[in-house]
Amino acid sequence: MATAGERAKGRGAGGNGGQQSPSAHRPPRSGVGDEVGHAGHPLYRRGLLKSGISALVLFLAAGMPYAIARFLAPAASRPAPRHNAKVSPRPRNRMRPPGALADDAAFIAACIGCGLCGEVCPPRAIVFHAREGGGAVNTPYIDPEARACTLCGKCMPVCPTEALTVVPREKIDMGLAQIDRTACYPWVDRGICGACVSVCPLGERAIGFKQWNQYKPLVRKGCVGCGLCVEVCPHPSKPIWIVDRSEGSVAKHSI
Amino acid sequence: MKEHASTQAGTAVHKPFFLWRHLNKLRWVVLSLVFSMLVLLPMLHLYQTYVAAHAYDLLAPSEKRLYDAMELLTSPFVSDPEKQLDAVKGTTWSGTLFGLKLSDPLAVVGQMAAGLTIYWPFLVTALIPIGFTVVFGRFFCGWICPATFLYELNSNIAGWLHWAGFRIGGRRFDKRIKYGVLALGVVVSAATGSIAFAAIYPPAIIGREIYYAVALSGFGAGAAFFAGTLLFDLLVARRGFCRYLCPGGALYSLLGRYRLVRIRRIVESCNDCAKCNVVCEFGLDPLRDGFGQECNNCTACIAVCPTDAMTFVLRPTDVPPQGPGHLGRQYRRAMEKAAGEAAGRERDRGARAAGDGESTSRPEREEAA
Amino acid sequence: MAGKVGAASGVLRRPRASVGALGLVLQGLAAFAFVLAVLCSGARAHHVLGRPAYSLNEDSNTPPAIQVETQVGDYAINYMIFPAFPRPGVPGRINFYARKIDGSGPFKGKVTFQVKDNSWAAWFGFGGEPETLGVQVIDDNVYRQGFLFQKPGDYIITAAFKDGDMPYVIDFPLRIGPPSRVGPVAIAAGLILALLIGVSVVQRRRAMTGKLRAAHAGGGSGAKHTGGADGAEGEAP
Repeated sequence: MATAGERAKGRGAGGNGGQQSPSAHRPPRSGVGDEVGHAGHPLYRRGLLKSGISALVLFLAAGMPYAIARFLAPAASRPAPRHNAKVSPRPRNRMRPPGALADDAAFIAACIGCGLCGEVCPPRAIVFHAREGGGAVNTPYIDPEARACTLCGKCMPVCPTEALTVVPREKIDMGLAQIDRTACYPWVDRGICGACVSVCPLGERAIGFKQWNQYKPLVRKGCVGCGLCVEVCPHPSKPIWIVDRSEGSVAKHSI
Repeated sequence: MKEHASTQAGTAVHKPFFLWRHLNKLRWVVLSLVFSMLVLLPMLHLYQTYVAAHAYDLLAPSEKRLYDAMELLTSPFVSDPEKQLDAVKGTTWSGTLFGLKLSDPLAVVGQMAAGLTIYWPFLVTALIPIGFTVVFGRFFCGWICPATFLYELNSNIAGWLHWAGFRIGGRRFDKRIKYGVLALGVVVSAATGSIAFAAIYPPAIIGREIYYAVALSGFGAGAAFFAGTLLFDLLVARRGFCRYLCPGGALYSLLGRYRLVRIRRIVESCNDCAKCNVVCEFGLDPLRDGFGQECNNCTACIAVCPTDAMTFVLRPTDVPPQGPGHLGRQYRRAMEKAAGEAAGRERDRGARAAGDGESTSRPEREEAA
Repeated sequence: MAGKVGAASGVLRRPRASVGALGLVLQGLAAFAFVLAVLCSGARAHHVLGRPAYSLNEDSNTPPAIQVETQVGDYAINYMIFPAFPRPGVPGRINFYARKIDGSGPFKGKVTFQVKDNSWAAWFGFGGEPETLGVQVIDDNVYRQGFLFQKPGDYIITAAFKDGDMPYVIDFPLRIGPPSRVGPVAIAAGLILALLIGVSVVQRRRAMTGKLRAAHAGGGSGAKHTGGADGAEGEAP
């Protein structure tokens, strides 16, 4: 560095007779210093090394905010399984909004985290992953236990990317409701309820009673997994929840 | 010698159009409007929700106040708030403006990198911003960005603190770092499949966090990150995040490199007071015609110039350095010196001496070398 | 300080007030016990805490304001507060279940319920002392504690019991009255924004002076047309 400074100083002194150039205090930059045919010159090699190191530092510094964000965010964690998790597949209370790409990785890649779907959602059911989402941070989800989707369909057209595509109401596939028959009040003969059936926006093709005057709910094929039944279920342990369609099963028979 | 020709050609000292020095005020109005819209939109959304639910009687007092205020605000313009208020939705990251879908070009870049595909309908939403950026350069950073609103206020605070005796925030780094951030963000997005920019891009964070705070009650992690950038700007480097780190700024700088509308110094009116350099938020060098691709046309230098020596021009590149301003001491001394030297020879002085004075030392250096 | 404490203790009217409304509470408990007796044959059943009773007054089954299932030490704790929207002047109750995770049945000792202020003032030490709501014994596998708050606000309910020598203390938040819309972070953000705008508007000349001084102190923006590298650090490529 001393040699570089001397060189520059020498130039400055020789050049404009004592009129101090600020470049005297700095290593010469390209265009002033070592531009002419010094390919093998040690200074040139040092410049190469320096720019290489600064590029590396730059690269690392640039990555720091993201690295910090990733470090702070624990891996996407699902809630601890319930005590009745053995009865049926895991509850899925992080559902993607209606019309979401089926593959979650593709959904995360397509979602730009603009929040528009949440902004138009009338029941404010669509909320967003925060740090706990890990790589899925800022992407939307619906927790039907907190607030369920009403299948109004406003979120799909506002999405600027293909993360949410417009699909008709019956073709929405957020999952499938599952009922724990060892806890649901009518199924264990502890009274009548029917809240899930009466709230279902899709009606008979999605959920119905087992038989006339028997308030035992049965999920049918038409269920799209909106989660309204989960939201209204009065049982504190929520014996109805949403699972992936592949993991769930529906009533084979109907009245 | 070329610069002389151009200077000579414009010997008639043209003054900038008189409204241009008021553009900075207009800019503050626009910035405040954008920011307050970001605060207002979630409230309007809550209001829509309440209207849709016919829930006025069930609302808590604070919610009733919100309902009343929003009703007061919107009733002159909309008859069916539940539907019509959807006309303006979203943030500067991506949103709908009266049926027009607009997205941040950075969002498009990030989404393309993360998804490894090009989704044309989404790309189309960024065309208007890209077009404006090509013409007006990095204008988003100076005129729209909701983070700029806070960052510039923060920079005033830094100035005030400096006045009060706190010597902080004077560091300078390499402005090319942000291009590295942009490149790294693209790489990380492609590698992880999620859009890394959304986590560190201040306007996206601001829009999102305000929405979270108002509609979903509670700030997220982004607010802490943004507060960190505010502190960084205050304590380490003035406008540090925008100057050195912002990937969006990097993208706009690249897009706006050959912008048509740019600011230019009128050397004949300039008195070298250097106020333009002081007010320049991006640390550019208007005094020596050093605008470059980073300039965001914020017009702060036009507004502050005491001699109306800054104006807009239509040209794809900056003018070459024009030397010291003709009203300045440096130019006058050079002129006197040249006049003294040229006393023997008669009537051979003028702009040539100005151009070749001690001001442009590059040729001298070459001679010295 | 003392005055604040006094005021805070006036805020809460607990067991004595509840004793005053003893009849009401007893009625409620009796109704509750009746429903339990009718609907629950097994000891480990959920105690019909939801809406199927189709009656939403505070003496009947209502949805809980909060319901927390958690595990502390050897005990699985289920904790609920009724009614769904606790309001000042309206009696409510806490139901507390503690059961051994090894399946050896519920905890059978005494549980002490305390309350303390969790408002902003309390964060800065003006919240007053925690006050005891009551000490409850097990009743049909549940510890029930009634309460009656006179003022809206944020409170923390503490349930404490001792299993042998091992003390267990569990804290739960309780909001009485409508939720406040402005949280601490929002207040902080508002203050920062107000500071930013206020200083920028009121002190704009001084801020400008400061910027000028900073520029002169830092160099790099001087008026000299020295050309070349000065002020051109990190020029864009």
